[in-house]
Amino acid sequence: MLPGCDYNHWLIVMEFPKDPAPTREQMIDTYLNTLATVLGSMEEAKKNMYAFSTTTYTGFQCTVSEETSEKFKGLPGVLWVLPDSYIDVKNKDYGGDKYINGEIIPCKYPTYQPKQRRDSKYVSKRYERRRDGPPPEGRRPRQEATQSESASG
Amino acid sequence: MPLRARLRIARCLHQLQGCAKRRNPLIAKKLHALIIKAGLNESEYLYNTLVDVYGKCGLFQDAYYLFEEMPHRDHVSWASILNAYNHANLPNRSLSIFPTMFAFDRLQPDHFVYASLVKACASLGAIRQGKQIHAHFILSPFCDDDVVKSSLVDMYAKCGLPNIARVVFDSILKENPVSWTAMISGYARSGLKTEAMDLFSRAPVRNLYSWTALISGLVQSGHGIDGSYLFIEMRREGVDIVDPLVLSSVVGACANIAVLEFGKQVHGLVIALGYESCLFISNALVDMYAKCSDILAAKNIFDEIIHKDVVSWTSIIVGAAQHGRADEALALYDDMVLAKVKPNEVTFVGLIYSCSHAGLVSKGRELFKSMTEDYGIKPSLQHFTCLLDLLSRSGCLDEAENLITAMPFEPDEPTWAALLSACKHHGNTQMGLRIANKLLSLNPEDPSTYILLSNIYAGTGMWERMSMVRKLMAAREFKKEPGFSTITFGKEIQAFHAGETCHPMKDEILSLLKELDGEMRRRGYVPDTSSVLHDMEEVEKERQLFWHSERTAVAYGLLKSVPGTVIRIVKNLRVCGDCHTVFKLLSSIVHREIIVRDATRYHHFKDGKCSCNDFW
Repeated sequence: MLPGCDYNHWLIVMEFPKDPAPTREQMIDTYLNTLATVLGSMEEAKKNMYAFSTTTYTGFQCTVSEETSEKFKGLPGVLWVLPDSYIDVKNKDYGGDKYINGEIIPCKYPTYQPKQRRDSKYVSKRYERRRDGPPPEGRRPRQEATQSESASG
Repeated sequence: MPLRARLRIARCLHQLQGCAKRRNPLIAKKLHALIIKAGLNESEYLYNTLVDVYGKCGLFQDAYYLFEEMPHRDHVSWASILNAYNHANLPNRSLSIFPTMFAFDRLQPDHFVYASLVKACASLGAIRQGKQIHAHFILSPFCDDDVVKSSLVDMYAKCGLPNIARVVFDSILKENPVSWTAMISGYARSGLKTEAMDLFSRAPVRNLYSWTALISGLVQSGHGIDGSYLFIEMRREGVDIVDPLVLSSVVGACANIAVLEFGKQVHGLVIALGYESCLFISNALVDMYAKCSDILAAKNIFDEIIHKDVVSWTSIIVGAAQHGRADEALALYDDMVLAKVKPNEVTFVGLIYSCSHAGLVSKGRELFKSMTEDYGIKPSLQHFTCLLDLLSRSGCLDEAENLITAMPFEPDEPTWAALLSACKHHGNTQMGLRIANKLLSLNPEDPSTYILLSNIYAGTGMWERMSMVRKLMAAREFKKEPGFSTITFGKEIQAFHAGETCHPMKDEILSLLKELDGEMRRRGYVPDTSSVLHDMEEVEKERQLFWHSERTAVAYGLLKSVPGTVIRIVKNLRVCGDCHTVFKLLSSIVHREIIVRDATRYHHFKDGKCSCNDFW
């Protein structure tokens, strides 16, 4: 199993309409409401949602048991119910913007901006950014890739 | 040359070099026009740079025209044009124009040229030419060049000759991560796990690229489990995933070993890191979910892909086919054609396969014809097998027999056995006997063939032949591959072997199985012992069936998994007829969906029915 994966931390990915696209606040409300539906109260929801994102992905992360996680399936707007794991293993960080009982701390770990890389043999097609919203914080400079790519791609 | 001209040349050069960096073809063409009009064509520097720029902008045709036009070509010109072709993914052109270097220009290659040529051979897998170039290189004054040597390591690795690659690798004087990565990749791809891991542990630099080389190589050579464990270790070491290739390799491993839960974990990671919109990862995810028997999830991923390519379409079509959803597979194909994406051989295998499981004879024939006529794809043995399957199951036995004799492949035991089984099913005894005799003369290997033959002869009252077959069977001493099943749910993964289990929960499993057996018999179930291999008492045969590994697995699943969830089982052998009946009944008794992936296909048992329509 991936580090951080204990089947008590879950990533719930949700789908939102594009037109009109909801604001960040509205998305956060939807996350909390969805979690509250499963857990029974908004109070519990606020306690158990530990992270979320509205940019890199549209979803939230919460602590529920494996049995409870099944209840998300089929709820409106829920796309995926997946076991969460560390995005930053050294710091035991699950990633996303942190949510601590109403307080929001933006994500520090950089996530990758898809770019068109024409001479990379690894990537043959364009990526596309599909979500609107503020860009993720910071961009880690790409490791010097050209040397390795040309010989071992 | 007057100062002014020299200055102009210098300026042009500078602009061209900037152009090469920015890959701007329009500016390159403008500069080219300027050079011609200003009469600066005499300068070799400009020509060389222009060839290089055109190459980098992807205008390899123009690069080649220019190259041909040049009155004096030197090493730089050659290096530029060869690189241009390599970049444009036309390595065969690189190799084909190379002989003129000796013939017309009377030049010997330098290290840049050697490196380009070796790269071209690597892409083509052209080992013969590669060895010639290697020999030439050794005899040249550049024989110590490390860059060329690294390219040679890569070439031998890609051509499946890791031992030669190692010899070249050891001769490299100055260490560089490129050659280490190429060597590790070479070992991993050839399945030389120990050597690959050994080299990896000694590598001076362990970065994402060396990890990726190791993991993808191992996954490619069938060591999916090792690849997955290594990925977990890579995560523990905190290596940043700036390039997603390793993710798609791990997803591929999950597909091959059918570990759905781990696949979901990796999927979560893909989303969290921001690689969700990456096409080749999405394609890998479609395939993974389909192979792990979650066809709905596969469809969801597929629907999310914006620019689907042939791999995307094929993965979902083959997935739908293996899950018995013929109509869906065919509808997807119609959409694929509308989207103007060209199907390939694999697409057609999936399509004809789905027709064979839904009995769509004319559609199957039509697709087979379309494959050869509209798309120019040469049918492989797999295509023929699927078509034969379709014809046999639907009772078009004469057509099937004609096809077997007409096809450009040697029909093997399973092909004849499938036709024989169909004869039995449709009651065509005359043909059945003819095929049986032919099959017998092939000296069959598979025990189930013998069972089939003896049943055929018994059915037609040919007792002498039947006992002869049984004697042959007894004499052969078949080593039957032991059956085992694995069941996964949540973090748990358990394996069960055929025969009485020694699992700690043995008593509960036994009592549950007995209870279910009782309920099934109440609903009219009678164990079907005709598929049991050995000669033994009826009671013994029933007992053997009772302890088939998939049954203990499902009992364990019912006891421990979250109620109402899907139970997923993977069996290494083909599910036997009796278990198939049992599972259909179970699914309606306990109101759960049970999915079994066996050696050949997926069975979705729900509400007393199976997705394969009893055609497996």
